[in-house]
Amino acid sequence: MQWIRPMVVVWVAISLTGVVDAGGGAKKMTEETAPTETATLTPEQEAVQSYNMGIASRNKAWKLEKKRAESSDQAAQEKLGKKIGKSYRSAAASFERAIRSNPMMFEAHSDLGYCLRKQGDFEAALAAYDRALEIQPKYPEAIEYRAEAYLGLNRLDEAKQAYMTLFKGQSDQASALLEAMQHWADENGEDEAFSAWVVERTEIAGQTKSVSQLRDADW
Amino acid sequence: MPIVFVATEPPAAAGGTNHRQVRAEAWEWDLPAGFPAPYNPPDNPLSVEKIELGRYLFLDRRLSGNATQSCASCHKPELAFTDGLAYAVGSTGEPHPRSAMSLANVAYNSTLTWQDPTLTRLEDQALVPMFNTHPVELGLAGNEDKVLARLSADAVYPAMFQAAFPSDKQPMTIDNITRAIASFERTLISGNAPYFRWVYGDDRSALGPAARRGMDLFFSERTKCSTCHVGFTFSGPIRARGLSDIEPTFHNTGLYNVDELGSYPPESPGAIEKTGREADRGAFRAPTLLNIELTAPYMHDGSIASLPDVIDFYAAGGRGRGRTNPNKSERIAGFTLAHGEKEDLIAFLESLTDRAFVDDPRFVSPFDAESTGH
Repeated sequence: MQWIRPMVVVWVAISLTGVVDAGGGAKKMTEETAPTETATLTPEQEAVQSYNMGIASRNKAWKLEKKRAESSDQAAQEKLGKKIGKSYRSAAASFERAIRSNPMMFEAHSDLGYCLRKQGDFEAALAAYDRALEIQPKYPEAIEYRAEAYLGLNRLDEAKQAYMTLFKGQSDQASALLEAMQHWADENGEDEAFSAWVVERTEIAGQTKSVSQLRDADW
Repeated sequence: MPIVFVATEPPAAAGGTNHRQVRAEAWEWDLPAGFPAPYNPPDNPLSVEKIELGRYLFLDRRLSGNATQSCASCHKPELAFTDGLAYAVGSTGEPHPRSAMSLANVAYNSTLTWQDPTLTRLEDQALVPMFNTHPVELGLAGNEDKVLARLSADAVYPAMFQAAFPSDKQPMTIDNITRAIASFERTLISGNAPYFRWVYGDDRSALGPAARRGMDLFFSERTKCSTCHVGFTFSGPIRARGLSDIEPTFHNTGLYNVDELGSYPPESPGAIEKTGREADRGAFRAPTLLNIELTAPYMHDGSIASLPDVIDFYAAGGRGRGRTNPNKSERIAGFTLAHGEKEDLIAFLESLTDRAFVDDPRFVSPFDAESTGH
């Protein structure tokens, strides 16, 4: 059966401040340039559209997580938990669609990994992060998220290595990962060597300044 | 509102190894872990040929009027590009009022000298020692043609200048000399001291217990050392690619107060000489502490001989009447060290020595030391 690319009304374009061009480069889209009528999307544009839908679902999950954390009602928490799972599943499905449209979209692989990890599937999450980093080895988000999956799998040396990669590269993701490591160490206190390493690295991170911190330093 | 995803250039490098390649024009930086790409002025792009020419010129005594001194005469690689003297001495024997500053990581410095906030480009700064007459340093003023003739008559320079400046019909010029020297100076990157191996390499054997304790002291609120010697250069404000400009800062550390009104000796009054601002009286740039073990004597005038003496100076909140200098920085408030803590601080400062940098074979003069080398 011949596959027919759907004609899609680009309803999102007007409200967007930018979209991705087919070549992968950033292209600003304003109201003047945005198509307002029916248009055919390239696979890359379809990928972007699916990716954006995935991000929207992921953000919804985050909001629900925050709401659940603030709630003291157990029944409400359980209900929210189901909604959170549904949002992550929906996000993962969108990221998978994005990947089918553009298999080289490393961001989609990385965010798919995130959603899988949040659903507790660490092995599948790792595979998704690995793919993201095969395509873009220096993608800080994937490095960080993969390291958090390593924590979930008790692969601490690999998590440490990932932290050093981010720290050396002056990435803002380094502090987020260190925080996740601290959280992990608090909950899994039996690994004293790892806990000591986290304490030490936290101290060093507090003493040294990243390039972005230097911008705001009191010289 | 829908989330907007804009695919952009590949994200900023997250550095997978201790050294990473960052492309800069025709030059590939081999930067230590944790170091951003230095700023490079667009009108003087780096190239291998220009850097090599700059290296030759930096080490060549023929670049002084009387052919007795090179840049390296005052900026000796083995002393982390200082000269071991309180006051630098020019090619005619005149002393400079200040000591030679280290050039380690000078590419990152937002200002380049002890007390001049207006000198921000290495190309411009190179003109100062070349043409300064009060005092005479390299002594090129009035000797430009003689020096250019010397270089023209050399066996290698004409081809090196041509290779470094291929679009110039007459590449052997004073401007191009400064461009080449500045390019070489930008490559003087020092980032392999034990401290960096510890912080960025996670090498837990790099620092001993004393240096670790000293590091805690260095970064503590008690000593405030790190409030002036900031970041990976351990110095004043930096420039780097992608980093917005930072206002230059200068500090009065309470070294002098000759008239009880805050004055410093007239030959080195501080940044006030350029800015005219009273607040800059006695204010000097915080120099890098990298390789500090090798750069004695200390302070802008070499008036403190050793690291223990420097620590005593800061612990006392200044020196003599300087302690009550009205312009003294509030950071120089003094501190008390417990038994053994001075040694710990020194151990930490010694961990900032980058032997691989000072022993780099590319700093060995290509010239016969008896004739033209530094």
